[in-house]
Amino acid sequence: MTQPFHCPAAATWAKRIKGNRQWSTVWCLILLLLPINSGFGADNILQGVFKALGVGARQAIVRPAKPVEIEVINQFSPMLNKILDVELYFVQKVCQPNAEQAARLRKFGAGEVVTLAKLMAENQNQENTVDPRQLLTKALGREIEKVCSAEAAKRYREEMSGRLDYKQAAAAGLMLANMDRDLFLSPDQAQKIEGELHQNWKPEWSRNLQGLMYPQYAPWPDAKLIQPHLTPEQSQLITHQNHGGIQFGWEADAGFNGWVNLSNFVSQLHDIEPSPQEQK
Amino acid sequence: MRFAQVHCAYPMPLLVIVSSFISLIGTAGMVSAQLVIQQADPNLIQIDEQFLFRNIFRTVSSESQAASKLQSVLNVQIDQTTKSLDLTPQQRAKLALAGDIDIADFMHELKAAQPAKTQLTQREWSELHAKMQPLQQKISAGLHRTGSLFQKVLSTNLTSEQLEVYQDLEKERRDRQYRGAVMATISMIDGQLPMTKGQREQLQNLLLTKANLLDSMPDDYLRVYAVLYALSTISEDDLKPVFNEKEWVAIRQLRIQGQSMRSMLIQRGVNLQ
Repeated sequence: MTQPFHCPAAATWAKRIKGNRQWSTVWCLILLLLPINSGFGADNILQGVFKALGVGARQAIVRPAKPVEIEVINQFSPMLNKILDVELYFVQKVCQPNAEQAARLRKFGAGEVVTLAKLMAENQNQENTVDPRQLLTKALGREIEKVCSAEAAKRYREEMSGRLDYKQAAAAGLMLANMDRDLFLSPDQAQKIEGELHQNWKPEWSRNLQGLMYPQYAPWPDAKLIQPHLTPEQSQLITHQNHGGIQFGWEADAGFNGWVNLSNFVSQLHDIEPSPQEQK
Repeated sequence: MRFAQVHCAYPMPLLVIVSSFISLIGTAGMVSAQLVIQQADPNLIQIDEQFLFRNIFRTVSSESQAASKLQSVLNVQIDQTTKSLDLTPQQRAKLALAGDIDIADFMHELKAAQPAKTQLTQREWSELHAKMQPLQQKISAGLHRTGSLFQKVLSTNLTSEQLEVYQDLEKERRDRQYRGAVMATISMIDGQLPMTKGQREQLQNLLLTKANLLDSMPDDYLRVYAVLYALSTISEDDLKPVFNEKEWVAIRQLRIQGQSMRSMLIQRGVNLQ
């Protein structure tokens, strides 16, 4: 026959309280009521127990609402319209469209703003998934091919390519300066590392130049990329670098809300129709 | 029978234990809630012991890590200087000693600035920031750069040929940093005042050749302000032809902003010519 579980300590405890069950009941009630009386309801107590056990409270899973509400789209439209104004001003400078062509491009751009606003709203919880400026200028470029002369479209393509290249070179220069700060690169090392950066460029490095102004948060290339050009001591120093990351928001990524503030200029662009002699 | 008695008695002590456990959690919660209320004094600013290190070194959170980081940077600087200037062992040893003294002095200043408590009044908070600022500037400018014992020993112990090479290398480094900051600032302006390739080139050329150059470059966002200040020093005759009338109004606004940065840049230790 199987012996039931026997615990000597429990048996001793049971003997002590034998005949005092009323007292034990009162004692249990006091202990149970104490936390409730101190402002911790049953729900809080259970949460406390979960917390003590390290399992935490259950969180509700919220699914994004679809379709995107118009209010959410309106959240993005004002800034997207500013970007459109700036880019149409640039089109005026580079392509010099006539009044009819300019009106067609503005109408097309307004439609793109709505499309982009929807896209932004759908992706607003995902960082760095949409670059509205790049998407808008690419779409404008395609429309310019249809609306303007071939020569004007070519000028626009070259200018846009030049703008991206310049921004990338600027970002590479900042990255190099950030490395140079502690690594004391020789001119030869600096030249080789700058070459590596350009050859292995990642678009996110130049997305927002503001982030590169903070060496502790600025993006760094993969150590394997630059280590062949460093001394062992320099290599050791970069393995101890602990870079975080910094986000300034999509408006800053798009070139606004930064340290360079030209809001007065931008606000008048919507109505600007530059005459040919004013164009540069 | 004995077992039966024990079996009957089990639920009661178990209940006592469980209720005690719940009571403990509840009481602990009550006590911690009271502590939070006590800590949430709006007149006091809470900091932790790593606050000073994080704010000065950014990626360092203790005294030993700070000293180790400074030593590693010094070692790299000495190695690089030895290679580029072909230093003798005696010159190298003197530099190492000077660098060690710079680090020791800095760590002494750092310890003196470390607050004795973790809850500060507004006045104590302001005093802490006033103490932190020169320390941040030293690290930002490079502990072993301008004004350091390391630099003094370097300039007095190098031969004239070595000194010339060293000055050329430093100028090249400074020019590289300034060029990066100039291009970044132009690119930022480009985001709101879009320029053609020709305009960017002309503006960059003016900033590199006609602006008052800086003897030292900050290593943070002040780089943009330093370049805007440089923009304000270019003569109007040189700069105005780059832009049309409407754009010039915007550039003039940036020049005013840049000029207003002068005192702040000097205060932050940027050497303006």
